[in-house]
Amino acid sequence: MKENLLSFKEKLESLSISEEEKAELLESIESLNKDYVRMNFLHKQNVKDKAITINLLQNTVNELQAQKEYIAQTNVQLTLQKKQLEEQSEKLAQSLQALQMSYHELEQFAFIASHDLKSPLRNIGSYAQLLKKRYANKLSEDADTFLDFIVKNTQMMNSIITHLLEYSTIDRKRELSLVDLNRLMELIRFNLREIIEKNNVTIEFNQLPQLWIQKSGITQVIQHLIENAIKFRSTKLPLVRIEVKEREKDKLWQFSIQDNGLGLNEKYQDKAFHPFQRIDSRNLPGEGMGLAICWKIIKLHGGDIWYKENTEGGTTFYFTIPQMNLELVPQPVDVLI
Amino acid sequence: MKAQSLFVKQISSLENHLLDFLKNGFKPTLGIVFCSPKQNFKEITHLFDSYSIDLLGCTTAGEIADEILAEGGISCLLMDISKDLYKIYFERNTEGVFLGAKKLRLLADSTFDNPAMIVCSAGVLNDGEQIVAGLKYGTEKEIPIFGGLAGDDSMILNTYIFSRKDISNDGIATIVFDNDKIELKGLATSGWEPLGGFNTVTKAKDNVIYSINDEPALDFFNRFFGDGEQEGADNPSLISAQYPFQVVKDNQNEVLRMPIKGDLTDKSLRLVGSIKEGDKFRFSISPSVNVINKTIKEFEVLKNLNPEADALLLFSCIGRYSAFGPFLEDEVKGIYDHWKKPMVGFLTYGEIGNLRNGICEFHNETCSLVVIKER
Repeated sequence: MKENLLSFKEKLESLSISEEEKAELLESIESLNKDYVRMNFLHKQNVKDKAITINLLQNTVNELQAQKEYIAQTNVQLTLQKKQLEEQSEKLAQSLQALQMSYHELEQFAFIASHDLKSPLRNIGSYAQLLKKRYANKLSEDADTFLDFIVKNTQMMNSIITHLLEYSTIDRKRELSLVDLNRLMELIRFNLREIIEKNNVTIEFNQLPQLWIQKSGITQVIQHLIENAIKFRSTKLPLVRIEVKEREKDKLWQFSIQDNGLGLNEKYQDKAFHPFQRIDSRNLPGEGMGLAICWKIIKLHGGDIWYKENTEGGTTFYFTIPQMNLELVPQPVDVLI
Repeated sequence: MKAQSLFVKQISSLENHLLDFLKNGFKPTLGIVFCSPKQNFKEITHLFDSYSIDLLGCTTAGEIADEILAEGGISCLLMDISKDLYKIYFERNTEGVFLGAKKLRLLADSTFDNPAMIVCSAGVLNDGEQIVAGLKYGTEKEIPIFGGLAGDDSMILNTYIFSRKDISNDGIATIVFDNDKIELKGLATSGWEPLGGFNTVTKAKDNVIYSINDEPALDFFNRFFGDGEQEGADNPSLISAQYPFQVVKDNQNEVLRMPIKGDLTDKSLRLVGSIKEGDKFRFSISPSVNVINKTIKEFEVLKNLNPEADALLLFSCIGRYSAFGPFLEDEVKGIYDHWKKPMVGFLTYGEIGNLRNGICEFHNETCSLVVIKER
């Protein structure tokens, strides 16, 4: 275009027109040239922009396509994983059902065995006592001793069966109610009034809170722990101190039942709560079921139970239960232990 | 305040104009000069010093004077402002651009209660974002700050700033005005539009990006721009000036960032301004030359708000010239026609200016205009 302009200028010089006309013509041509340059630039720029835009969009589409494929692959993997999970979940449900059946059967067996044993045992005990009543001092001295053993052991066996029955029939329905623990303690005092009076037991507690609990279960636990305190008393008069405190951090209520008895070595922490564990070598009363019953009730509450040996003698049992409020009280659930 | 703008091809012409002005009773105290690196800017500093005219200047990638947009020349704005109302500071980046810029802001704050700054920076690899961060350091008060990164006719080798006594290829210079007496109002605007989806900067340090979407940055860039026909590869500035990254900043402002250099050894991309790991960006494109009319209209709003002007400064990105070519003259003329007052400027490697929300940012691909008016 520049060359064209130069040649035009030369031709213009040779034309026999006025200088003014030449200038007008030259200005027109220069303007045309400028417009040409601008339009040429615009055209090139548009072509370049178009190419880049297509490239950008193509790459974006490619990336979207790649992402789509990735999502599709992920979906396939997720579908597979979902299927596996469903299968595993099905198996788990089956195992759970089988376990529940086994547990129910075991529970039923324990209940039937305990219940059916009680009747013949009562007969053995009754007849042994009858023998003793009618023939005491009429048989040999050994025979009297043997009869004493039979009576004493049938009583012991009756106690074991009673506790076993209690253990197997612990109410697994967590029906919660709002309970004033001060009134609950009065109830426990009334339930245990005979051994309390007989053993001159002091039970101390300050103002206790109102809590959402399974009333019968917690009553059983506290009663067992007080009975233990009396059963394993030292030479001092039994003193039981009960406290309840809030553990805000983990939203729990913590109960403590402190006694001044013989004390229970902490090394038996694991064994102490198992059924029929009599961990003390001293010839002390009991069948080793009380703590097992407490453990089962507390676990059904979703809590924990443990003990510590007091430095000044005796034992403090602790147990926790989750804090509940009216809005959060769960529907009764079947808890498997 | 009186002001005169002029465009010359030779320093001798500049001196002749200066003599004419003096002869006609116009005695400038302050000059702003933007010139091609081909010009002997050392001689320019001597000239201004010999006439005791304070000076702020820098090299360019193209000069603007009134409605002229040219290359290879000198554009000059002369003003007769009282010396009490401005101060020139010159900082060599001996401790880095951030600390240099911070020092200038502290000086500005200690010079006037209410300062306003015109800033020029030299150093092709310097991080414009750090300059703005330094200029804003330690104060939440947004003051008018406008300026540009010096150019070197698109050679990307050495850029310079200068004053009456100093020249540097790695420094920052500023004129601090007493904004209570000399009012600076302005606006930075681009008109670029986003294109394609969002990408994430997955590894970056300062103004160097190492990976984008976990892909080496240069590979990623060339996948879009270096398909063989484009000139991408190790010199992305050739192509990216027209298709910069539109980055969403933490304050939700969107700023354009122009890759200026690629490194084939570590597949990194160097930008003119810094970018952080985790930043999201999209490519952007100028919506053809029509955007020029849009820019002119935006400055018309500025004109309506600030109808009076003694002089104007225009900092326009070299990327706009690559995108708009001869049409950029229309933009310069359109802006000049709003006020028809002495206006100088230059094609920059990065612009500093307040957005419409008043927040000063570092930009690429924008046009940053300052209206100067003595109150």
